[in-house]
Amino acid sequence: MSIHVNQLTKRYGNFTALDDISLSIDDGELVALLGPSGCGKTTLLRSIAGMEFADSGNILLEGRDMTFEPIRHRQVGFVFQHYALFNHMSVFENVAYGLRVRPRAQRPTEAAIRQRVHELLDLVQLEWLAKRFPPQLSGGQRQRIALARALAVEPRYLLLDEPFGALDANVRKELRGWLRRLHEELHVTSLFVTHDQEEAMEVASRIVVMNHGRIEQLGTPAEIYDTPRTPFVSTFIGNVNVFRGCVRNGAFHSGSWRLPLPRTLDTLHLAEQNAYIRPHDIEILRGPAADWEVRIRHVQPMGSRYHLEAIPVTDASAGPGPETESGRIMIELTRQAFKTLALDVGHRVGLRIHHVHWFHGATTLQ
Amino acid sequence: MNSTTHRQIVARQQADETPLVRYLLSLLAMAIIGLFLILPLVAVLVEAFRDGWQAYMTAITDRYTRHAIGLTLFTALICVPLNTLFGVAAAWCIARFDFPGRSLLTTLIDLPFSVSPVIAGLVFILIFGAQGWFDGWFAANGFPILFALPGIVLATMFVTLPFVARELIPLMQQQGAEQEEAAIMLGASPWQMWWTITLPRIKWGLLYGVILCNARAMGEFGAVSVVSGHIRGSTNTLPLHVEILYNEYQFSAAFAVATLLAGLAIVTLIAKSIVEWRQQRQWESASS
Ligand SMILES: Nc1ncnc2c1ncn2[C@@H]1O[C@H](COP(=O)(O)OP(=O)(O)OP(=O)(O)O)[C@@H](O)[C@H]1O
Ligand SMILES: [Mg+2]
Repeated sequence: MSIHVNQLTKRYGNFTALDDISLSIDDGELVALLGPSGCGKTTLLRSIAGMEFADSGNILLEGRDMTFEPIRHRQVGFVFQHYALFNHMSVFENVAYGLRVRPRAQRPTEAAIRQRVHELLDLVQLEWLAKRFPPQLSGGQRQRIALARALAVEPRYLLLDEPFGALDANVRKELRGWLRRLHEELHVTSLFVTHDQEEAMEVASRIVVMNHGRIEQLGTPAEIYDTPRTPFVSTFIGNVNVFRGCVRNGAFHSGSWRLPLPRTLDTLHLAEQNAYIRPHDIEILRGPAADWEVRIRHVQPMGSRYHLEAIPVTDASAGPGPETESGRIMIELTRQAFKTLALDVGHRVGLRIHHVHWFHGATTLQ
Repeated sequence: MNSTTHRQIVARQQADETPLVRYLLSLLAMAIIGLFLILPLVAVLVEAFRDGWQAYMTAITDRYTRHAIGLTLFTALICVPLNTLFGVAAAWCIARFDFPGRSLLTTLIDLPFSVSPVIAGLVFILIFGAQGWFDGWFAANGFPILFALPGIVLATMFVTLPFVARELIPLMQQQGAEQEEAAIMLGASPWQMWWTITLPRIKWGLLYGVILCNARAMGEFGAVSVVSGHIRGSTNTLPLHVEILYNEYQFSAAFAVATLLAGLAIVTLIAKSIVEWRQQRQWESASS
């Protein structure tokens, strides 16, 4: 039950919504499609389902070319961004719908339909709502009914368009774990859209990051986070400090700041490079062995971690400070480290940089 | 806007007016309704029974009256289903598909509303009249259009064309296609989707449009008057019959027949408010 998308391109007028998209999803995988609003996530999902036809490229389901097959032959279950439950039917009838519209020869008996619907309602733990109508449900309940309805026809593929988009943070968290357990139980090849990176990291075995109709990177959550392939991925997944600069004489220079580079990075010599540094890859030091010096401007306790904002301290004689996005540097510490260092606003401290992603200057910073 | 905030706004506006202003405004509205709606209705009834119950019954059961009733019902029976079909199809196309000429079609559907019915009738004379483009041919082949049933049906169709489509287009646009797409994704055929999803969701709006369309089809005067030729016992619909009786100074007979049309109007109003109430309830439950 694999999904292959091959060089798919879709235009609306002269706007390119999908630009040469290629990706494969293996049998039984749960993959997240992540990207900012308007990047083409829904369009891609609708193309795979057959509700939208691409201008070029093709879609293979289980190795068979389905590009021009009608929706009915694809055996795809679809959960819509806004549920799209049938408001004039009870919850029971909503879930039963896909079974009732089957051709007479393939339609289960009334008793079989009844049993299947109750199984599904059981699965989504909403058996007790069978007689209600969708407008009488909460958002989270509607979401789960929409999922049960899609599963009723035993789809081979499940496409979910921002399944938790319209819900509050707590319900999202709960449903997220629930979706992952459900997937472990059913093993339907699934692709779900989200613009919440945390959600993608938590639920999916692999993540597709999209931007402007293109795939920026495809990989496991760890790969995406630890080795982002483009500046966009680096900034979109998690927080990052961006320092503009260049590499000269074995060191990175940003304004008057200098960061010695390990030998292995010598190939970067003379290149126009930007340094992408995660807030938690920066260590705060009290002593002189620091790479850079800053003054703490703001401290934000976030439960188990502390978020700090600092501004560069530079010698007037050395020239202008480093070129950053906001003029501020984000640093993240464990609660433990914060307490040990006894930090406070106004303190002048040293920074030690532990890890940097390098991206070429010309292609970065929109 | 959902109904709760709407109610809140109404409540706030009510609170802003002083009781006196509210009282005066209500009185004014009542007076206008009484003067322009209730009074004529009462006048029709009074005049209809001026010569007594017997005369009323005679006028109603008169041969020509019976024929006019039959013709009016027959015309409505043809026009309303055809225009319902057209209205649903047009609304479906306009609300669901983007095609070249879509906005032109939307504008054209309104044409009968913006053209005076008399002009509409004259257009049919121009097309099918003796000196017109086609009727020479139709009449010569034993199928006259003007001053005959086909002309009346055509004119009525033209005038009542927009009612159903006008009612459905905004409704279907507001509802969107998502539930229909969901049905297709679950394996429904387009035909199953139409009967199980689309129709149940638009049924109250559709019924509302049909009721208005029917009222107008039965009550249309101007366009029909131009193309019918007023041949008693042949091409006279109810509204035309009332006029003829009136012009012949048979006042109480004219008013007696008019009570039939007034009765139709009242039944239409009642049916309309019931449907409106149901529709309102459906919207409220859908948007809560
Ligand atoms: N029918 C259409 N006609 C023209 N442009 C469209 C149409 N549908 C989508 N688009 C454009 O294609 C782009 C991608 O849309 P899409 O709905 O796939 O975005 P998305 O990634 O799902 O965004 P969101 O997270 O906001 O749902 C958008 O810029 C949108 O404006
Ligand atoms: Mg979307």
